[in-house]
Amino acid sequence: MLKEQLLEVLPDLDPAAVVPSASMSSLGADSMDRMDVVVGTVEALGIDAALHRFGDAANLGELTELLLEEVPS
Amino acid sequence: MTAVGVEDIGAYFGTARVEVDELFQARGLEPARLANLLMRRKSVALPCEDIVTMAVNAARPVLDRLGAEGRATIETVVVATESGVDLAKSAAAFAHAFLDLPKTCRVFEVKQACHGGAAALQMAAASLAASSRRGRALVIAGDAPIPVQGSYAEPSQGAGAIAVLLGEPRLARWHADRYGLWSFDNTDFRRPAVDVDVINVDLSIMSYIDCLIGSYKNYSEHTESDFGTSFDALAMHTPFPGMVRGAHRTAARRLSGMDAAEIDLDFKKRVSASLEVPAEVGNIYSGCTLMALASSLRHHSTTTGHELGVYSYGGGCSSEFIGLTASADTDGTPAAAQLDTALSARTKISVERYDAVLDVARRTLPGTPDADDCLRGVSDLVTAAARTTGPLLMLGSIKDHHREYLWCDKDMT
Repeated sequence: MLKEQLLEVLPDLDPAAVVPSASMSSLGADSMDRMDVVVGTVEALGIDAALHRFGDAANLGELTELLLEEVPS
Repeated sequence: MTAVGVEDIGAYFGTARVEVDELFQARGLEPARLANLLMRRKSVALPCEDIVTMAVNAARPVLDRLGAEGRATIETVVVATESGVDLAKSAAAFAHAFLDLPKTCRVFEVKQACHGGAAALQMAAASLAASSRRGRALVIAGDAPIPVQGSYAEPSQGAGAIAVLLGEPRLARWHADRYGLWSFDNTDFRRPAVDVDVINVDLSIMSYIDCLIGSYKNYSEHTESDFGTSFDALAMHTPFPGMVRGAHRTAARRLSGMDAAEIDLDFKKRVSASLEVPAEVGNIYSGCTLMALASSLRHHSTTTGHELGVYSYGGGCSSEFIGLTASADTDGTPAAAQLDTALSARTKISVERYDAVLDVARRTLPGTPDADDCLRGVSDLVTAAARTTGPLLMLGSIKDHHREYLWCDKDMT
């Protein structure tokens, strides 16, 4: 889901570059792109948590872990 | 309770500006990122400027319009900033003197990151409304950051101040019970030293959106307001206009269920006017929300008046959503004209000259014990601006930590 959102915001991105150790910045996403990816993923997953919960993730792997903690069971 | 509101607004955006696209090119920044920034130009602070000079230069035109009799009714002057010149003596104390305000005056400085200006406005307005004295308050907010050269923050790091005179509701009416609050602890922005900005951009943007939604929900619980229909215009804290567009997009979808096309239309109709001035100035931190408010009143004017929602956010973090009622024809007021003047008074400078200014900017930072001839190399910019604005207060020198200011006019006399 996170990868889908990222490729939707950055359509020219090489899908193979979307790996857990990559940060969105290193993939070329600016701050507004990153906001759109996080908000889009949170809403697609039905997460009800505050968005600032996801503001400290250093890379996609950390962001995925934070998102998984909040996905409704 | 006394009717209180925004009576007048003054602005000062420095004497120099740099084109943001030229800065992008000179720094080798990715041009595609300009689209999400929505900045055109930014103001540049000179070594002879600090929050004291900016506050005074923003407020002086307001006091000139108010006259001696009105000036005597000012019972509060507050300066909100993250760039105080002294840890004890407030910028408001300096401003109180240089603006020749009455001794019967409450004088203080406010720090609450970028929420400082709106927080000061709320407190000052409430004190006026609660009193039968029919006094006035002067709320000044602004900042003079040291830009982080080569960073993506640099193109939006501006300089300037906004002065809001509270008293008769000529420009907008303030309402004691129309506010919503949302605050929690985070560490998205800090300034541990006067020339060190530490920011977690992602955390700041996410917190900004959380607070917009949180403070608005708190507002609506007490006012039965609807985000999509209760306000004809919106003005939000604007570190850079693109951030407001992003936050509005999320809030409009979550609070009002708007689709993408409706959001675009709503942004143009209600929000874009508030970004006209910020797109020319850049981030003035504690003064950002009041600058967006001024921009909205200047560029979103109606013949009958309208409801104006104001959202303020400060890192750390705290926020407030405020409901004002804008008066009719605010675009034809002296405040609107002076806002335009403050922008047009600036001289366009090259990136090369901008870098030369930054090279000496640290020479006069707060905490510096001594600095001579602070106008050296930039007096042409000051005189050029003074031809349009009238006399400007500048920092002349620093001697044993004492900052000596002087008034400069178009002839530098």
